[in-house]
Amino acid sequence: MDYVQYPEQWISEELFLIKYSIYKTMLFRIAFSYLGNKHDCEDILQEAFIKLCYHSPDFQSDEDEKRWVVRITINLCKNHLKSFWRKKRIDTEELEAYAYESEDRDVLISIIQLSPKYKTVILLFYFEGYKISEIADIMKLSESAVKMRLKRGRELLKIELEES
Amino acid sequence: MKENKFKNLNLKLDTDSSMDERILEHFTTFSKSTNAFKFKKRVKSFFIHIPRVAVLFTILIVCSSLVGWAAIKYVKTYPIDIQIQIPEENDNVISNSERTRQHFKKVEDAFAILELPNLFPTYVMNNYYLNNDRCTYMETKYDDGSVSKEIYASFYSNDAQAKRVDITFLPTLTSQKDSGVTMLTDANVTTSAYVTKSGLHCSIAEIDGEEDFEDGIIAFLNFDSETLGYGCYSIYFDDIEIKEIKKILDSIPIVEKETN
Repeated sequence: MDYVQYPEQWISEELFLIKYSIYKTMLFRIAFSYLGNKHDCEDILQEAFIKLCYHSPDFQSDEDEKRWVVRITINLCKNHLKSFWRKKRIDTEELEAYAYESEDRDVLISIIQLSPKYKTVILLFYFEGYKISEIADIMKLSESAVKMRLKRGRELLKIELEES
Repeated sequence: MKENKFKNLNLKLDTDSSMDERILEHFTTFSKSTNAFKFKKRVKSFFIHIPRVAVLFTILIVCSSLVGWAAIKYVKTYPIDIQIQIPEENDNVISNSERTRQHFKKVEDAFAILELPNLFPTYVMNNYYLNNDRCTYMETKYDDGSVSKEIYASFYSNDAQAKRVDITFLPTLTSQKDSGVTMLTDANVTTSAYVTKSGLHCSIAEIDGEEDFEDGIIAFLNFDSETLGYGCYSIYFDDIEIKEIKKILDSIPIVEKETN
């Protein structure tokens, strides 16, 4: 069969373009840190925007929508890793395209290699600027669980906390 | 690395213009009802215009082809031992590999590269749609000279439930006898065996993760065949009942060869 059934909800192309420009970089960053290659990231982004446009709930605020789409993208990445059950191999050539310096590339590799439970917290805290309480809400965890995962993620990435 | 430096990493992680174009094109060509309507109209008019003799001739040719393919697709399958291992915290493999992908709108075209017929379950082909109109053939060449090949695709059901099936088919160079599967997960996994209606030995792993989105069922099948070579399937089912999973597995278009 080569047709799909769409639900009643439909958004204009203009609104879709607005949402795409708002979220694409953030979602690509998240997806790449999980999947390590742009081809799979493209599939995830397509799915995430399909869900945002056609299967999302009513949001009370823009921030609410952002948290929802972050969570959906993370879930899609985890499902993708789980479903295509093969040892994940990351192409080093692709990584070079995304990091200016070799040191940055090494850090990117380390992030990709992290277990998903630490990776998510690290990404949301350091790259998306979320607070502990917000990360807990996105991941449906307690704040203490988020703090523990952040601490462990820092240890694995060898991030030294700045002295205050 | 100091925390501030980590926060300010200079990474160029973003989509490129060609990816943006493909994603936008995918959405801007959507039409809520006309796509479905056009397809139904197209199929109906096609059958009206074919002369009856041509229809009969076509049916005879198709039937004889099906008989021919059925005779060819005999395989030997084996019960698979599934091992569960808790993953190390850094478990992804970084390797120097060259990977190429080709995307196809039809599954048959992906299998044609391997000179094989479409070996995906016919139940999925008939009742689900190919996600993103994409079936991917991927080839990975490693430093040691080895090459792995695989065909993979995601399918969604044609209803509001949006059930999902992800299928990976991997041809291998060696016999799958005594070949097992190792799953790296810290979720609870229950394994079981299932023998399909055509005698194929499948192993099923039911994953019960900490959170709902981690749940799912994966079926594995390994085979040896004189005509198809060696290969394995890994099929992931999301939000699909076991009854339908068995229907899907029953429809894998290969047949267990009876041995004396």
